[in-house]
Amino acid sequence: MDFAFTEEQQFFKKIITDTVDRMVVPKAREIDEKDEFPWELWKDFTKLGYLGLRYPEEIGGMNADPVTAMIFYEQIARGSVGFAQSVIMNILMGTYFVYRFGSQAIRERCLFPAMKGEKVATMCFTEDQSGSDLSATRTTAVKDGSEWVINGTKMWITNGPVADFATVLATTDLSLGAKGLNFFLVEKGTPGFSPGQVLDKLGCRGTVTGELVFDNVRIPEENLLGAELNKGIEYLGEILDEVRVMTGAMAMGIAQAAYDEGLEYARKRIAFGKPIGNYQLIRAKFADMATEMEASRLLIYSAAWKMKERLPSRIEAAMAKMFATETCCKVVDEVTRIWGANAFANEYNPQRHFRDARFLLYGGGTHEILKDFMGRMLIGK
Amino acid sequence: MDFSLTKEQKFFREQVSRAVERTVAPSADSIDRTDTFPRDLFRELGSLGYYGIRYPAQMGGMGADCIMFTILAEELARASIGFAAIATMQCLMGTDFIYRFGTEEQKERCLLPAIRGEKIGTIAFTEPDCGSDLGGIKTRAVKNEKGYVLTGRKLWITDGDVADFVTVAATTAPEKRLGGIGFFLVEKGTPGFSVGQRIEKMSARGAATMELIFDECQVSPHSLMGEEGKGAKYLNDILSEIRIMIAGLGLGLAKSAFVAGLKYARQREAFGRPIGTFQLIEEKIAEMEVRIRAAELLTYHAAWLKDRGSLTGKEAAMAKFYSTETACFVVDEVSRIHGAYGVAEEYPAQRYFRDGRFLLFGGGTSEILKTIIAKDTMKKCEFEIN
Repeated sequence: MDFAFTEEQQFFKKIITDTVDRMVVPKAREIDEKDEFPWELWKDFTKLGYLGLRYPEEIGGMNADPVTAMIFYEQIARGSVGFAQSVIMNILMGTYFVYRFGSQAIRERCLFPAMKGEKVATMCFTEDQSGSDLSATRTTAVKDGSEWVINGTKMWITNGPVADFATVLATTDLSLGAKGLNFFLVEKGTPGFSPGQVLDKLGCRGTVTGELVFDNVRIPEENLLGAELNKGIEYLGEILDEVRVMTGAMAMGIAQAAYDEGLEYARKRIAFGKPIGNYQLIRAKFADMATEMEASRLLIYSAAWKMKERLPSRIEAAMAKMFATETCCKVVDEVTRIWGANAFANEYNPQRHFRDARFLLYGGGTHEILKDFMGRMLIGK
Repeated sequence: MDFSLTKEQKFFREQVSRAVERTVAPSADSIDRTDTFPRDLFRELGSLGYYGIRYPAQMGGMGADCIMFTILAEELARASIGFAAIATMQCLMGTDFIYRFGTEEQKERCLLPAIRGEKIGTIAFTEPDCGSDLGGIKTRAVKNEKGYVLTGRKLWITDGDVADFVTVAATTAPEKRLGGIGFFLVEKGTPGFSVGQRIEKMSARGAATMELIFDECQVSPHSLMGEEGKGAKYLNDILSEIRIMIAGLGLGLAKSAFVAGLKYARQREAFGRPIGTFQLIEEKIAEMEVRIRAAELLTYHAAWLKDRGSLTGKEAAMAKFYSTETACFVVDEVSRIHGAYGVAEEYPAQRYFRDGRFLLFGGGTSEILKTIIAKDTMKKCEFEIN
């Protein structure tokens, strides 16, 4: 066994940590308050090449393994989870199907600019009445000659209002449920494709989240992103584990940021003549937080290691996602208690961490769904 | 034993519930969004006489018991924690010292208009570096021939921007810590008294939390409420009532959030059926309901003891601790039941989630309350129910 990062991973961690401290941390509060896509930061940050994190060097990527990718996800979320979500959407879900199935022309038009930050990508699963239950997808794709015609409305789309292209989940046959689902590429400017209402939300502000409307959107045949028809769910399975563990890694980023704030406060705040960190009830909070964060990281990095080694990781990924995001919610909760009433003053960060943590409970599957899934796998049918 | 409300209490609950439904509930969202003091609503509730709930009828009050006051807190909180914080401040902490220690003239000028909702009262003890540790306050009161000179800064003062009068904790003898504290009535417009920065916050919006600055603020000898150095004792006289009241706020919030969760669980479908029919959601509903009922029993038991005159600090601490933790548990679970909509501004679930936190600090943090409960219990080595 070897629990250490490689030299390369350690070096990467140091670089990204410094970069986030320098570029993202100072902007976090403003991003949260404005709740607008941070174009300026986006331009500066994406110059550094991180958007190609997971893709091969020959197409301009960094060729990072899953462990290295998790280091990145964790650090960027430590800076600002609102910004992290936009960045990670371009790195992972928003570009994966284009990378995997796009023609050379599509790659040149969408993938390469997205890796450079010149285009903003997104992926759309969720609808008003379908979230964790993808088989309830109502957006349809109907073949008409050499074109696909897409109709439907997607909700909760990260980067939706600013996206240049979207990977859209749609069904070719409503009666097939999950077995009729496919991914389609729809680009900005295609007639019938338009952004709808923008969601005003509690946390992860700065990631603009909104509705996307597809009204008789006609796209060419080659925009079907998949080698075979109706295999969308299978293809989604290729990145599902990474998406889940990534969510856990982001949770650790938030948890770390909150924990650091808590530590500083416990050392300097005085009550009854001594720093509150001298009291047992406060010390116990740090012991619990540190233990659970350590356990979360072990789950995250061991799941990432399994993915790197191409070992089965479906249950491990679900465990890492659930445990790390629950730990994050607990840490931000405890840190707001350590901060007392100051925790909900907007001039300090704990209230932001407290709000941000909630968003991670849902993406990648709610914990009710994940527990049901894990239980089913463990018990057997 | 009898766990039911009296006829009078039941009637009162129905009446308050209807009044709150009609006046407060429709404004709850806009109070939260705009984070501004709802002046018209404040007046309207005053005209119904609720701010005098604890005070005798001859002063325009209702002369109600602690159970009824708790009912009021609960019903207000069901609609809006922001407004409930404003109204309960007016009923209790903001006016109680004048009621107990004020001169006839002060009562005429401050208390009676406050009961009618024409003036706003608040209390100021918290400072930048001291909250639960009241003995650590630094605001000084120095006696001179004209009365007292107050100097210091107060923080987290509810309604600080709109208050017409403030009951301020200051020390005449810092070395005596708790034994040096006195409360002073300071009215708006007194030279040296000014409003500082506003604390923008995520919970209980609508009830502004302000910094108050006292810069050589000269007040009259009558401004001292009661005697020098007895402030901590006077505060202690109402501390349990404050805690029971906050427990009531927690109950109200928990119940509203619970109902919102139930509605969503019945209406939202996944995998072809309402999510409320899945076991994991059923579990949440059961857990929430049991905890809310336990919190309700602890809270009203403490209020009942208070009315009988046999309350000890411990029961109020338990009620406040358990009820506010339950509220935070319920708002958490309800936001999970809502899925991503739990963080969407269009549903109240996110407001409940934010508001829950407000209840954890005022009246003593859970950490402080637990040590109070434990220290009291450790005095005797047995399990006793009061």
